[in-house]
Amino acid sequence: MTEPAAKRSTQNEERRTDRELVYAARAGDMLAFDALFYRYRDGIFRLGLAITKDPSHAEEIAVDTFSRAYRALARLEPEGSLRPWLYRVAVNLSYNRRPRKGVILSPLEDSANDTFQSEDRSPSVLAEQAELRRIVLAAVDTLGPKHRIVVVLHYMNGLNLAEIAQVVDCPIGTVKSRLHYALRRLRAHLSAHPEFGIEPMTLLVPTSRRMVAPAVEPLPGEPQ
Amino acid sequence: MADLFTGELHVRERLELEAHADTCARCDSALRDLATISVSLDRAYAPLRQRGTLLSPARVRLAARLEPRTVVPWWRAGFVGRLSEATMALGFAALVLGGSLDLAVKPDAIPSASTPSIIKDYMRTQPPYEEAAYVRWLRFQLRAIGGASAPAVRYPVGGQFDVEQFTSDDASFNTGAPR
Repeated sequence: MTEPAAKRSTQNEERRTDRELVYAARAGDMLAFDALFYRYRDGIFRLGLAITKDPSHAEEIAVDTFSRAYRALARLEPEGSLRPWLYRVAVNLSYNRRPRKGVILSPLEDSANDTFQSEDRSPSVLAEQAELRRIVLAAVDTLGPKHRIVVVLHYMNGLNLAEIAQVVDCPIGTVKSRLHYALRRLRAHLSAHPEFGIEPMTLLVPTSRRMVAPAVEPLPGEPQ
Repeated sequence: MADLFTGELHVRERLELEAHADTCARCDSALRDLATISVSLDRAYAPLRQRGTLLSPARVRLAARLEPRTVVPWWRAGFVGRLSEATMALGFAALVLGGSLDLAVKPDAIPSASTPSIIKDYMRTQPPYEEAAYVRWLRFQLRAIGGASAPAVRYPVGGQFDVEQFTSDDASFNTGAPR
C-alpha cells in the first residue's frame, strides 16, 4: 500500500464509529481492531497508571483489556462508544493489580514533564507545583476505591457522570453522591495545608456529626 | 454545588447559584474551596494526561492467542464433545471384543487363512527385536520368498556365530614355531 493510500485508510478508520469498527473487526478486518486499539490505548494506559502507579502494570492492563475485547468481539454490542466497556474492564483489572507498597509516582518525573511544557518557569515554582501535586495525589489515595475511581475517571480521564455510571455500573445519582463525598473528603484533607488556602471543614460537616467544641481553650479555673 | 464543576448544572441553575453565593458568605466560601480543589485535581492529573504508551496491537493479538483456554470438564462439554467421547469408547470396546486388535503377535507365527486383519498383517511384516527371534523370522521370510531353494541359515553355536577355521599353509604359523 502506498503512503497516501495508507494515510487515507487510517483517516477512514478514524472517521468510523466504535460500533462500525467492532462489526468490521468481527468480520475479520484487523485494521478496524487496530483503529479501536489506537483510539483508546492511551486512555486505558493512563487509567491503569493512575490506579496502580506502575507503568509496566499499566501496560499489562492495556494489553489484557484489549485482548479481552479481541476475544469478546463476537459478543460486543456497543450502543455508541466502546469506551465505558473498555474502561470497566480496565478498572477491574487495575484493582486486581494492587499498587506495590511504597511505589508512588515520582514527583521528579512530573516536574520533568512540566519542564518540557514550559521552560520559562523557575525551578522553585516547578518544585512548589510538584509538591502541591504530590499533596493532592496523596489526598486522593486516602479515599476508598469507590470514591477514588470516580475522581480519577472524572478529573484524569475526563469522563462525564453518565459515562462513569456505565463504567462503575451504578446509577448516575450514586456517582454524583460519591463524587460529592470525595470532594468533601479532599477538602478536609487539603484544608490542613495552608498553601491551598482552603478553609477548614467545620462549616460543611453535617449538623448531626458536628463536634461541639469551644473555639478557644478555656483558661484554668474558668467554668466550661 | 459540586455539579457546577462537573458540568451537570443547567445555565439557569448556575446563574441562580452564583447569585446566591454573592449574598451568602458561607456558600461563597464553599464554592471557592470547591473551585480550588477542582483546579488542584485538574493540575495534579495534568502530567498523567500527557503520558502515553507505544504499545502495538500485535502484542494484544499475541496475548489473546497465548492465553490458556479454560479446560471444560467432559460432563460440561457440548453435545458434540460428549458424542465424540462416546464414539471413541464404543469403537475401542468393539476392537477389543472383536479380537482384531491382537497386540501379542508371535514372530514365528505361520500365516494362516484365518480372519484377515490389517493390524496382524502389519505386525507380521515387522522384524522382531530379539536376536534368536529375528533369525527365525528371517528364515521364514527367506523360505517364503525363495521356497526350498533358499540357503539354510546357519544358527549361532555356543552363543557365538560360527567362524570359519583359519588355516595356513605355513606350518610354523600353526605350530607357533619361530619363523
